[in-house]
Amino acid sequence: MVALAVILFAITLLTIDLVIQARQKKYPLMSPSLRSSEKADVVRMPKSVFFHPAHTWARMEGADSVTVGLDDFIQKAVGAIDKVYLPMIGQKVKQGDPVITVHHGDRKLMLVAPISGTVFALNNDVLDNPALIAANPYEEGWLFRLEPELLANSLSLLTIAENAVSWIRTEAMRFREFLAGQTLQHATLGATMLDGGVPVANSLEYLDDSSLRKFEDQFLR
Amino acid sequence: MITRLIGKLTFWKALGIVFILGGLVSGAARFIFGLGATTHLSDSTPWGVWIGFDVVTGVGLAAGGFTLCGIVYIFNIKRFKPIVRPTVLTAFLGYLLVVVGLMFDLGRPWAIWHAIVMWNPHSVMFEVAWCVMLYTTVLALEFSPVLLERFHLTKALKVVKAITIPLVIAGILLSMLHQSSLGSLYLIVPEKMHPFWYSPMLPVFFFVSALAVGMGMTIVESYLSARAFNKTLETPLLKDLSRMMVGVASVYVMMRFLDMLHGNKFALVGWNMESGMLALEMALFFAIPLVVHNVRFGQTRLGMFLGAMSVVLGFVTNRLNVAMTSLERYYGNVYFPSIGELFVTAAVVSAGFWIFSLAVKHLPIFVDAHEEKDMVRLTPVMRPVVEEPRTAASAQA
Repeated sequence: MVALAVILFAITLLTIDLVIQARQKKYPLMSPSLRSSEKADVVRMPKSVFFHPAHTWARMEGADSVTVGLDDFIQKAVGAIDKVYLPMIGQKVKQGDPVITVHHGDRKLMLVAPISGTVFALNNDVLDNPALIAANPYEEGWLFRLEPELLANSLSLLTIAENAVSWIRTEAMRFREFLAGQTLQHATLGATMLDGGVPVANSLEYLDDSSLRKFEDQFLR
Repeated sequence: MITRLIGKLTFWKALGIVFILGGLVSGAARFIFGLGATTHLSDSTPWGVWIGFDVVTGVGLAAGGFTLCGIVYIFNIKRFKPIVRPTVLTAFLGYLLVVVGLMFDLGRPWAIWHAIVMWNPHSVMFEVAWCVMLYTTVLALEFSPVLLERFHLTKALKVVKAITIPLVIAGILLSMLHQSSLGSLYLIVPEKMHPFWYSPMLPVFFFVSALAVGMGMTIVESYLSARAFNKTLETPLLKDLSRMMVGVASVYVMMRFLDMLHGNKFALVGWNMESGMLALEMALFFAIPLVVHNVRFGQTRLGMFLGAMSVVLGFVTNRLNVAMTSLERYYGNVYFPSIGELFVTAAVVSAGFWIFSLAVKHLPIFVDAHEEKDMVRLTPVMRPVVEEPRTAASAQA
């Protein structure tokens, strides 16, 4: 009797909690403040990851395995990613080839492979639930694994650690200037830049198709 | 001021305040008027919800501490290290609150120290008392690096770190003894317990189920902490933990099945209270988590949390079934705790949540593996322009 009462009470509390959580998702102002990793002008740049200038990354997992993903800067700029398309298992990819496609609504962007090699594993969790990229693009949000070819050559183009941090800061300023150029055409974007910061989160949403293609050419190739 | 405080009040905070105030009043009444006047305990039901839930269940729910310390320090699986501190804190608080709960239940709580000097090595209670004392001390030492780091006591920190492995080994040994000896407590009443729950294997059942719930509690506590304190959830670690939890729960259910089979207990299964409670226990502890773990939803954060929560609830059902449901038929009376007993128990649990949140706010409990260390702020820091104070001389100039 006591056991049943305790369990029913616990299940009632759990249900109330789930309802409260669902309401907070619906009305985000009721939620606690953002984590630092979710703030608009902060990006995650792990020191153990090699970054490609076109905003993808590669991490050595062993002699024959490199994990690949897209960086925090680009996932924030794109906004919520709805769909991801990856190369097939067994496919040979070359460094700089556009092999990753991400969708945000009806907009899409192509991203390049950071190094050359043969794909041998895909992250099915991300294919099913692309929100994992936003949660952490370097851990659960990885995209695929490949067996590298001509690794030394590939790595010479990539940056790591302090160099990557300087690169991303420069890249952020270049992005700001790029957006400023587009602001004349799209007045809504101006509002996001008034505080003098670098507007990263969801900024690509405000660009029309031709600006988006320009962005792709200037930042993702 | 009051309006601001009310504005900050959430549903859970308000509920916690009601429980703690109710617990304080009920606790005071218990010490002023005595157990007989304030509880529904009697000679036929001497152990009620304070023992069944606060002690027997509470100790099991604190099992995450020794399970995770064993995984990290003995099996050397270091990737679980980021969740060791919150788990040890949960275990430490769990044991402290077990002691608090016990103080309400003991007829003469001021004589609790007798076990230290008046030894009775033939009693299971003696083993339980010593294990609780020693393991609470071990947990305090395991948790001490957090405080020493906070107050920059580097020499003491070095000493504690040097004895980490012996401490962990002592903690695991004591926990194994203690978790199983709680099961041994019920070995002395075979004629009173319902056969579904009485078994000479009870100590082993108690230990194995504590292993599973230790992992379950770690997942639940990590999920709730990540949500409440905006911490990164160590999802890959929790996925592995979730897999291990379901594995250990399966081993436990297999053992229970064999026990039922060898004891011809399946003949007792029917349309009665005991069969229903056994089914509920098995569904919550094993069947639901197994199903949740094997569907796609089970791999999400919420799915892992709900799977682990089910194991925790199944464990609570099992301990309450052992401590209460199994004895009801023999005594012929149905015990249900008084409102005061319920308030004290709810207050003990609420106090645990409250102290945990205070500790997380003020102590380095969560070691953020990915958060601040890897962050790059893109906006240049704006330096305020400080004007020189104008003096009379400069004004003239």
